[in-house]
Amino acid sequence: MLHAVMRTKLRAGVVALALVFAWVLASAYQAAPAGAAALTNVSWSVSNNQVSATNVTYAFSFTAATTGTIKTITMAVSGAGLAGAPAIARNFGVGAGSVAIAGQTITYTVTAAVAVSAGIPIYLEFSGLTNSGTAGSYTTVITTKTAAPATIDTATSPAVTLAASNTAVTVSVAKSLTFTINNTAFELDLDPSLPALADQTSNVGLTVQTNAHSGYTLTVADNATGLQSAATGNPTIARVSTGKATSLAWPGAPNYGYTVTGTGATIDGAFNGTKYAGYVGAGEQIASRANATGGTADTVTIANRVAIDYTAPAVIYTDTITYTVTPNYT
Amino acid sequence: MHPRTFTARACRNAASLAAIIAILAGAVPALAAPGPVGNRRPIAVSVPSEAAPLDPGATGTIPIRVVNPGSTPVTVRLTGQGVRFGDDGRVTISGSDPMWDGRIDFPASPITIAAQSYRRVGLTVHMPARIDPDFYFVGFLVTPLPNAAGNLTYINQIGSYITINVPGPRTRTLVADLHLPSFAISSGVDAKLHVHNVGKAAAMYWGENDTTATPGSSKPRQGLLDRSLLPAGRSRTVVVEAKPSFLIAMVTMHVHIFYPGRTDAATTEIVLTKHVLVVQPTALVLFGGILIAACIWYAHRRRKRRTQRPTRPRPRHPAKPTRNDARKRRSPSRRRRVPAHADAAVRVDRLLAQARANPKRTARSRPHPAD
Repeated sequence: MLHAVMRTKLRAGVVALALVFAWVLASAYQAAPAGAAALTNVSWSVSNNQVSATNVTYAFSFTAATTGTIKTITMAVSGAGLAGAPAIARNFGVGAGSVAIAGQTITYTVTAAVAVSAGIPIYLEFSGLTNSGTAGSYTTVITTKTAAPATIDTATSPAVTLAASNTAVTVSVAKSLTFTINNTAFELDLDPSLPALADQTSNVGLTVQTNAHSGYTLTVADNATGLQSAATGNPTIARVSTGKATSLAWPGAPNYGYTVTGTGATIDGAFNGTKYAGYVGAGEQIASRANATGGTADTVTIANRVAIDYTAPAVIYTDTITYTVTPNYT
Repeated sequence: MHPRTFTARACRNAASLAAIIAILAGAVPALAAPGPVGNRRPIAVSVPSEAAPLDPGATGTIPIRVVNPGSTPVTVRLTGQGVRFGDDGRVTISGSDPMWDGRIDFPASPITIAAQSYRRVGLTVHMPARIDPDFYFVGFLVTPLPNAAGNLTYINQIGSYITINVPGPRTRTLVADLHLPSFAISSGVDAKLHVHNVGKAAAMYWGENDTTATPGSSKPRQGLLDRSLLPAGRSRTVVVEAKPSFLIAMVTMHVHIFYPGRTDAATTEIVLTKHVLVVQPTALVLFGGILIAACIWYAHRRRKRRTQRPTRPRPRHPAKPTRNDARKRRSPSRRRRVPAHADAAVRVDRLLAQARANPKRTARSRPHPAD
């Protein structure tokens, strides 16, 4: 009798355990799609919201909600009339892939699908699209899928309004560079009888400001003849060195050279320790920068120094120094 | 004299005097006062932000803008130049480019830009009938004309370029490598990413640096590398960084470089993975501190034990070591190691020494017990 009761209780326990196990399994099965329910931080923007506008760039960004191996991402734009030949302008968060358009759906296919963790921001930017010709409010359903294909996550983007009557604002910032010189000519009156008058310096202040992604380079050059007089025999004041490679501490008269200091820009190491170099007719790079200057201009100061003694003929010497700055927009 | 005649003559004389003064002032630069004789001269040049698409054989006008932000008018001359790209974004504008000689229409004469103003200048490009799909760069110089005379004349010119994109599929190939030490003592690590364009066409690339750390963040931290154009045959080195979450961590860097393949509708990817053990200086300081604290504690404990050990009372008459005592203290094993005949030899030596000291005794006589 006792055994029978115990056997019944045991059977009930097993059944209860089985039920609990089945519930856990069912919950787990339902949890996957529930977790895949919504991508987060979903946004969609267009570079031009005029109807039928061509060469429009669509940018989609979202955050993966579920860890999964993403093979394809579909972006199904509501309505009709989406066209164009999309090109991949940028992709972050997922591997390299290809883009195709079929009807209203843009599909990004990852070449070699790898697992993307939950919480990873994904950004896709496609250029070369043509807006629908119908004005109205549009949304995009973004879906990440496995290779099966099975949906990993999905969500609908906020609406974008395409219109014919509004004013499309497209802000295009030009690639630009501003180059300023603080004076365009300098007069040096030298006199060998007094050291203070026999050795003089003319400072030239240059400022450079650019939005060039890779910064700029600054080169200097002068007349091939250097500091020369038009008087009989074309006397010259010798260059202090043959170029920046042979820069040296100021050796005294009679010489003509320059040294460079600056802020923001990277000044060539040849001028460290106030070393002077002679100008080169073909030009030499004296300063550079590898990125945009931003709001603060770089300053470069060039000290042009001339020293003479009684060996220098008393005539007027002239030279034209050209400072060339070249932005690098690559 | 007629008043009108007098007035006319006076005007003529005044004008002549003014002209003479002006000629003298202009003709004698050596008499000018020393110092700056020119003025401040800013100029700016802007080009389109995107490459201009032009098909082979087509003619198109690409607008540029020459800006004079200064307070006096500036006259500039535009001339075509060759563009040469170097590694790491270096660019040089000089000489001429035979590819574009005669194919770009620049303004024939200098243009003057009023103060605080700008001029739009259209550069008309005549594309060759046969040209491969690629990015092409057309260089030019904007050179202000000298506006003052001095011993030294300074010219600030801007060299710039416009970019032309000949559409179509092209061969783009990039290679990349990541230089990162396997061990670093620092708060973060900087890796050098070297991207080299070994293809035949210029390539736009972008990328991301996903960093994970163990222990720490298993979810990658994304660092983005913005789009950059790399001309064929050129390379660029950029620094990518990673920071561990803990004082000591194994940091893994996954750097992805993306660039368009044959067409812009598909991208190619280069993945570089490197691991580095990062020990933050704070960890070393902490470790050093712990080590010093442990040493101090050990020394303190040892001293305390010594002071706590019961001291033995000093004997009033300390026993002097005798030869026998000394012999006793010697380890029996050592004694055992000494050969038996060694004692006898020592004894004979001692007797011989005594015999030499006291020659009355015979060498063979035995010492008296009273000695």
